[in-house]
Amino acid sequence: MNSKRPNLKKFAEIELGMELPEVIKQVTQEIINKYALASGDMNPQHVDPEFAGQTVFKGTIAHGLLTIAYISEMMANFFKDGWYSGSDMEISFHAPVRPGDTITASGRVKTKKASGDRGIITCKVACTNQDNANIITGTATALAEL
Amino acid sequence: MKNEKMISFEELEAGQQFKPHEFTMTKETIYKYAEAVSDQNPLYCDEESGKNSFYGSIIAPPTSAAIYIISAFQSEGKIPPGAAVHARQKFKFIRPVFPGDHLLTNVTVKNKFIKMERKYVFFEIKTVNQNNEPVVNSEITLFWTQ
Repeated sequence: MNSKRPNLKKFAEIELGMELPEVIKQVTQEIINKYALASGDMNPQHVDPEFAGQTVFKGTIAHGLLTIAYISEMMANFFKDGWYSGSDMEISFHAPVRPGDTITASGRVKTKKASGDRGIITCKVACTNQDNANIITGTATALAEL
Repeated sequence: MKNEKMISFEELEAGQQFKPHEFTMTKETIYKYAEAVSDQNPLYCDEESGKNSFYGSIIAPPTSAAIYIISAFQSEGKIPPGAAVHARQKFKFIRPVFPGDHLLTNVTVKNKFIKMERKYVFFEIKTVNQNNEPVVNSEITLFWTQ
């Protein structure tokens, strides 16, 4: 790191209940395959339709960590350098993402507090599919400038 | 993919540690990951933007931790046939990862249990960089699909 200041969102400008701009992604088998190659997770549950057809999911599903990446993109877009370190997320998976699904990552500011020289902002976050069914829900916490 | 290449639920026990996994992050890995999750954040993809940032360089997207976590899961030569559905995940992004960082990841089986006839394994994963500084701590519960 250098002498530049981190690019942080101003604590005072963040209001409880504020909605973060959504991130919307279409998931295809091609994207799942690309993610498998990039992440090294070649589990046939994700990339082999024949194998996946015989599992409880009856078909291929996207990697859970691909869906989490959409939450991370939304948090980074909003909180900038307040997301890349000193941050965390805790989420639960409710349903799989299948090829052809459109996923919307959304978030809303739940709590804000000052701690030392930083503001700590916790958001309720979720990913839903085109039928508005919850795929993942949870919280994500980022830093802001006091 | 044959079943003998997958870790069986029965062979895991609480307290078990996988072989520590070493991984070097490269620019190419970061670009490939960012493309796979369709995230064109210049802090991940554009060297000039990275140079002018607080970090002085491009950094790896926080969720690219998936790459070394997944490799660490495979450090025993087998893959866990787990899916993240119906399970909780927790990530603490402590420090950013830079190109050239040499990472060491340790996976520990914390617990395994059967709920509603489904098999779950709860893992704790800790990654440190070449200076032995913590980078990402995570807790991942996988639902055994096999």
